[in-house]
Amino acid sequence: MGELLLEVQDLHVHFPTPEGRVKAVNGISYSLARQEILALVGESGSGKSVGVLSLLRLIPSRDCEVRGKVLFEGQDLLRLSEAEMRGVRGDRISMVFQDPMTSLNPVLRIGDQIQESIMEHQGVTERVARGRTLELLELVGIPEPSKRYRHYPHQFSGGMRQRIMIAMGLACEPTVLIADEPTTALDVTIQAQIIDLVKKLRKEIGMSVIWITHDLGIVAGLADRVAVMYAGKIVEFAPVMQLFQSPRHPYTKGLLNSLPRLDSRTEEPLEAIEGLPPNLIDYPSSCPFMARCAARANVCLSPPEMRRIAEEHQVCCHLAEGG
Amino acid sequence: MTPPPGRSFLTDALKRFTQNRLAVLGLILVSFILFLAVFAELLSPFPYDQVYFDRVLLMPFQHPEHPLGTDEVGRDYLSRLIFGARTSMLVSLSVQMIALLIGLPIGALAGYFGGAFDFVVSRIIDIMTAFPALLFTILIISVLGGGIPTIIVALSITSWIIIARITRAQILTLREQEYCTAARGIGASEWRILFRHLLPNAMSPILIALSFGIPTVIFAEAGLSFLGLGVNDPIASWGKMVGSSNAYVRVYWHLAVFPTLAIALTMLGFSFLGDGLRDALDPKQKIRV
Repeated sequence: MGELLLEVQDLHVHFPTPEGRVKAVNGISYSLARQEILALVGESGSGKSVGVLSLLRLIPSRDCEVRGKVLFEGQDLLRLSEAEMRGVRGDRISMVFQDPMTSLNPVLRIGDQIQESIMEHQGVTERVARGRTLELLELVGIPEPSKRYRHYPHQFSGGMRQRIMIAMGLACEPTVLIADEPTTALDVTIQAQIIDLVKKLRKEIGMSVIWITHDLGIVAGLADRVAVMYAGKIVEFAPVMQLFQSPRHPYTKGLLNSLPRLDSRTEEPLEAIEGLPPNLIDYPSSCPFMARCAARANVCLSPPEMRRIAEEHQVCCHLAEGG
Repeated sequence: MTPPPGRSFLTDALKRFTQNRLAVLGLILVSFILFLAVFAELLSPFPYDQVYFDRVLLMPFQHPEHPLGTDEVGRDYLSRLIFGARTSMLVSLSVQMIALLIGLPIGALAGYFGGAFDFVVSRIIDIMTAFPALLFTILIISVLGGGIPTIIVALSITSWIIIARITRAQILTLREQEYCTAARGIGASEWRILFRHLLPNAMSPILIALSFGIPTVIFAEAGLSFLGLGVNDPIASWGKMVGSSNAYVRVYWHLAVFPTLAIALTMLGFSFLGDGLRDALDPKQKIRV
């Protein structure tokens, strides 16, 4: 792997509510190397989105508490002033949002929305920014960019809007692109095009990607390393092949077993993981997965620590063995 | 459903508006009144304050030079009606303009930034909404004295509240939209997000509120002038024309009927226009009767 670019250390994100503190993210640590594609996987509510939104300090709620360190190019993003943070967002770290139908402003022309970021960060004239916008639209595969940049979001299909969002994210050639389930709303053919595009751009402009998804199929075809999240924690962190071939955490195993396989017999029912994730207000003092874990033992009553069981393979489970 | 490329929201809105007959009728009425107001000097046969002592209280068509008769001091009634349109338009458009200039930024800032400023603005809005607007206006006019500038000030004080309330409510919902987070995500500043990304999305309901606010102000001005609290003589105002006809109206019916008709047609025109605008700009809210 190349040089270290982004390092998240012991990140916590809590939301105080009248019912109690919602512990959405509970001490996650990971790093991202240059040109690496890191996948964050986990079910809904496991803290994937909140975890990355808090890197850019984009959590809409005014009263959330974020603790930990987010080191990017030697600076702790959580300690920057709001003005310095604006200089990072969209320029060196940019974000592609989940829902293409609601993440574009309906009253602004898409060209202006892409251009806005270029003009904001690079201080170029409108003409230069416009030329760059046309190139971006071409790059993400919008036909007839010189005509289309004048159109409004409602004149595009969902897949095209998602590509426009990606063009917005790429506008300033960011060092890190954070993509929050960018293909969830798309059909599989468009999904494949977008994944190819991201892989191509990683090589061309040398960017790193954090890709959030709950689709393990995408992970296998795209990511270098995978972090599996459960109840606001990373429970397993490994290179992609290693994770698929020898998952160590019972939750990862459960996830992989719940996938339909081409070589399985159709009569066999899919295996589901019993139970529900823990309540994030009443966070258990045991291993958070204990209640649903088939292999649970007495040792699981104390919270497990992240352990390195192989060169690149970390697991957060008392019972996982090396190898 | 995605409409075919090349048809913008405004083209669609324009089409919806022109297909609505009442809206077009409203637009025609309003344009006509505006035309009268702007070109009053050219259109009226006499100056609004020209007094003919020998032609007092003529009935309509009684004298060839005064098709709508004359009033109790011998002024041509048609000319006064035309100049009355100018008073109505001047007062109502200025009031709504001031209401927009004050209410829009205050409502937008309160809705977007929240906090202590929002608390203060919301309480002012609550108090002003609970207080009878007409009493408040009468109070201000009795302190400051009559005249068009005072009426505009007095009515603006109650009108900006409505615009501020609507803008605040709009911004409150819009700031939770994903594209707001997306704009923040590309590094846009808070002011830029508020004024470039959110306010244009809030404009339709604000525009509709403005167009409904105009007849309210016209009516308020007419009411105040009727009570003798409005414009000063010899300025023509429809409300005052009705009010001062009190003593003669049983015989000289035209003194009350024509200005009342003028007020009614203007209000009707703006109401139709407002309805049409709402249906055209905010198709989701359309209530079919």
